[in-house]
Amino acid sequence: MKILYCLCFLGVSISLHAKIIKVNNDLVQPFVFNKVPMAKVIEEVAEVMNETIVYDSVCLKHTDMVSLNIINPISKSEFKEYFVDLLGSEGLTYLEESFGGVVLNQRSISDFAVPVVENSDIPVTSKFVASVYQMSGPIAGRFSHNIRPNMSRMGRIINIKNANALVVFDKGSITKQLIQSAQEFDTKEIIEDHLNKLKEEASIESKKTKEEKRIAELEEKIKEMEREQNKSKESETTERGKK
Amino acid sequence: MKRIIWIISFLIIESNLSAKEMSFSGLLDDYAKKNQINYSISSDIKDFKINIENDDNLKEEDFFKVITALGALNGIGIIISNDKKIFKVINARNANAENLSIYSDESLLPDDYQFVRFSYNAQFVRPKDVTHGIRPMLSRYGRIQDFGVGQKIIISDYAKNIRKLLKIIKSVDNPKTKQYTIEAEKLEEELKNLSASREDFWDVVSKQYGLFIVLFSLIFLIIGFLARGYMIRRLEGGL
Repeated sequence: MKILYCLCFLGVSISLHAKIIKVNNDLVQPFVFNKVPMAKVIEEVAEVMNETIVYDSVCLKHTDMVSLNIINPISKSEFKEYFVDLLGSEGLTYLEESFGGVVLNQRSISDFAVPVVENSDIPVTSKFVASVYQMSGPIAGRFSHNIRPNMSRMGRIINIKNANALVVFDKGSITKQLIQSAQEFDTKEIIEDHLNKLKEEASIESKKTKEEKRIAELEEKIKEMEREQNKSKESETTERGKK
Repeated sequence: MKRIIWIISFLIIESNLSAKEMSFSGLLDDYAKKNQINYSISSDIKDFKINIENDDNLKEEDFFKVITALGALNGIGIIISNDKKIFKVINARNANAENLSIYSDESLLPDDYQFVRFSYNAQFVRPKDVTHGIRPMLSRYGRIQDFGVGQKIIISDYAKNIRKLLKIIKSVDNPKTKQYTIEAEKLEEELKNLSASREDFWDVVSKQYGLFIVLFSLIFLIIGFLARGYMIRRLEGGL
């Protein structure tokens, strides 16, 4: 009877500490995550990558069980990318630090130091990065305004006025595409077109009466106030969501 | 009965051994005791549970980085005194009102998420353009300001975040930007002149009405004399 109990205890211990993933010759062997809790996934990844991963228990509270099926052996870097994708599907992301990494909510990523990379070195990844591109004419504002729908929910594109500079902050793969689009947009013809359009608009403006100009100014102010109201409502809801 | 109790207690011990969950305040306390540093925690800070996977790899010098990163995740600001003998754990919302360490040399900025202040002297870019443009890249509790005159920019934020911002600012703080700024000012002036209203005929008339009254009076006078001359000739039978 005592031997039976000992065997039961051994069985429980083994099941608690059993590893799903095995590494052979620096390659991650085929495995299956079948409806596994995210905490277990993080534990496995930390073990395989030999890194310390840190996270706040609250950020995993609303995550579902995840599934991932790897049929062929893959490299550790590929495995890490799949891990970041899995986190992304649950609204989380991974931030690399010198001690390993931090798992956090995607909503909080802008509060943290993502890597700022050169335009030519943007990695194709689901991790967040930032990159700066300086255009050769005053078209950064027009570009940033029109390209916003192509970004992820947490992505940002900023125009630094008078510097003709764009700061793009999003997942690596999206940032790379946007910077490439900006480079294609940055041509002499487009800059000339833009300047001609501005001069045309200025001439049309000169033909308006003073009353019409005043009305246009007031309409612009109302739009700006509505935009600020929407922004503050959005930030309130994200604050409530974070809490 | 004894055996059942034995089984249950063993299961509890096993589950505790395998859990890597701990409290943030416990981690702070461990760190402070190991490094003989005093610390204070603000009363509005609530404790929370954290997890550290594979902590065997964690070096001693990385413990503070972990603490500050977890603090930043939860809206906590960690401020170290200048003499490094005490650190304060406060709500990051109030961090700007504290006596923050001020840096002006990027190489001395700490490589963690403690809350600090940095003073940057822009060379080519206008500070106003940077402070207005770069705000979305600050953390929720970060602040960036210029003084309206001069080239100084002051940034208060988590130290690692400031490093990120400096990289962005430095990439636009170059001679090309100064050239673009001059061109943008010229363009603005040109567009302003183009969009200035041109006076139409009635604006001119309303300004110079005296002149127009005299002019039209003269015209009608001449027409009147011509008409009179014509009528006289007609009546006398000359035409």
